[in-house]
Amino acid sequence: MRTDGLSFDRIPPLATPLGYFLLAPLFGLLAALILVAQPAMLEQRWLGASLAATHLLALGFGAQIMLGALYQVMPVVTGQPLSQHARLPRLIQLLLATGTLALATGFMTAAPVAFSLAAIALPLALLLFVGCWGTALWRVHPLGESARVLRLAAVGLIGAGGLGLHQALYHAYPSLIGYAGELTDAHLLWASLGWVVMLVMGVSLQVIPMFHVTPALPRWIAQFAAPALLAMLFIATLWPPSRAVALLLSALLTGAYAIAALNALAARKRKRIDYTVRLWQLALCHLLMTALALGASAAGIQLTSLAGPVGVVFGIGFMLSVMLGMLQKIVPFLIYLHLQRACLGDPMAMMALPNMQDLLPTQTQRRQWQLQLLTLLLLYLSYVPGMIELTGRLAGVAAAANFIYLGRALWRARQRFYAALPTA
Amino acid sequence: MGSIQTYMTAGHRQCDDSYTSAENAVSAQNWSEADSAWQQFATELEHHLGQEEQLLFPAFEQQTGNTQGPTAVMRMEHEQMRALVADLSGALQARDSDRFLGLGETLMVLMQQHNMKEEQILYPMTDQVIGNSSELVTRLDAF
Repeated sequence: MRTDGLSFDRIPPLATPLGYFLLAPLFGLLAALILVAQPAMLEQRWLGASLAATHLLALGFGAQIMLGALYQVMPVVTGQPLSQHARLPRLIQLLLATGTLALATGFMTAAPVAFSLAAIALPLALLLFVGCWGTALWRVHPLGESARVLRLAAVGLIGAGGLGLHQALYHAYPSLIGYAGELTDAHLLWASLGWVVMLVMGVSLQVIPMFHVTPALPRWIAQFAAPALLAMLFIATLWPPSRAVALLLSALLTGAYAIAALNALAARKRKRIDYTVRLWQLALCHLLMTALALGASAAGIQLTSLAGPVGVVFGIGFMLSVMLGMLQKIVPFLIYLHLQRACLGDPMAMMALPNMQDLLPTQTQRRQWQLQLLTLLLLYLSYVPGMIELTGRLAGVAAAANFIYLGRALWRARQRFYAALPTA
Repeated sequence: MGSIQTYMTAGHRQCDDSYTSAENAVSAQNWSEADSAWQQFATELEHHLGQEEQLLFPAFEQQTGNTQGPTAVMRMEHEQMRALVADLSGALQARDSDRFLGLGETLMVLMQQHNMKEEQILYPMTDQVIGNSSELVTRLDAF
């Protein structure tokens, strides 16, 4: 058996994931500022501001964090690192950031040239990343449950990106590319369920039981729910007559996963307060709400007026909460790991190393959790009739504070790393 | 006897449980219980690391002819864990719960990341490369 391809020790240089993590809050901040300027976007899905903020959050914040995290997670979960070749991670990040800004500018100004730029930069970023990720996933052997689901998430990402490219080309060249409303919905579905939920599912199979000492998540998630969810997305997209049934089943599968993960967390043995656990629970409750809304809409219950709230539930309640929680574990651990390796063989230096809580104090984690709750509360209050102008803006301010605080916490952790690095 | 993966994974879970008992006792400032739970954890962990370093890894290395690959990294991570366990013992003796919990979180994540690599890759691989894994499991059990 070949073992030389296995690289447990090839953790990425700290600058790779941290570079992605540090840039992400800036995009979140931009989305929050758009909300401050145009709170009406919370109710209107098709406003340029809504689309710009959604993509700043999904691509600028979400994808930056997820890609950065995959550089760290892949060698651990699968033994296969992503290629660090020739500054590839930086190039991908640059393309992703440029494409995201171009896309947001396009939505705000309706300038075709901005969409053209986005339609070049984002597919390039996607191709390069999926190329690296796909190669690593292809090499995984033996294939564990987590890696199996990650492969499906890669398919989801390609689906979401391909459908997104079609939309960007329509905005860039409306006379050449016809508009197809159902493809917009398909893009949203693939991006949210095929990519984000699938990725979280795959990663959570490993990290929830391991970090929080919970019972293992049920085997049916990897063996049945994840492939079935992807199959439903294909059916809903390619065979419109069965769309409602496929969406209903997608909602059931997503909801079942959320309940199973919540159950596992409820049975955890560690009793200490852990804000990552709280953020996971908050996120999974929001995923359950998303599944209920999706199921209701597939069952024919008219939820048009809920399009805005569902976006908030999924984007801020689920996606942002998971990421804040994961960052609280990944970042201090990564820094600690690099510091410890720098001090191996020097017991005195090792004794003086800051531990994870020194790098990201519990107090900071608690404040981040409180800011996230405040952001969500104000967002929900915005849907009380007559409140949107005031609480919508306040929610934007809270979200801005949330992202600034995250950026500050990550930056301070980075500073502590350099301060603790042995000088010799 | 079952597979190496099943047997060794059970060892990880046992260590997790003992660590959790110690952590819960420290969180509750119940020092006498924390001392005994910590002692149990440290003993179990050292026993598990010994099983790997003295029996499992050599068997893997012999079959694959690779002594500088995954097992070398695992041995290095064992040393990292031992360094943290020594720090944690100091924090416990000093009754410094903040330091213990901070170091404990670090050990937990380090240990879990290490376990993930073993359970997902190294143990299944060892089961595959070693013809008679139940014989090795018997020796591990007698360690």
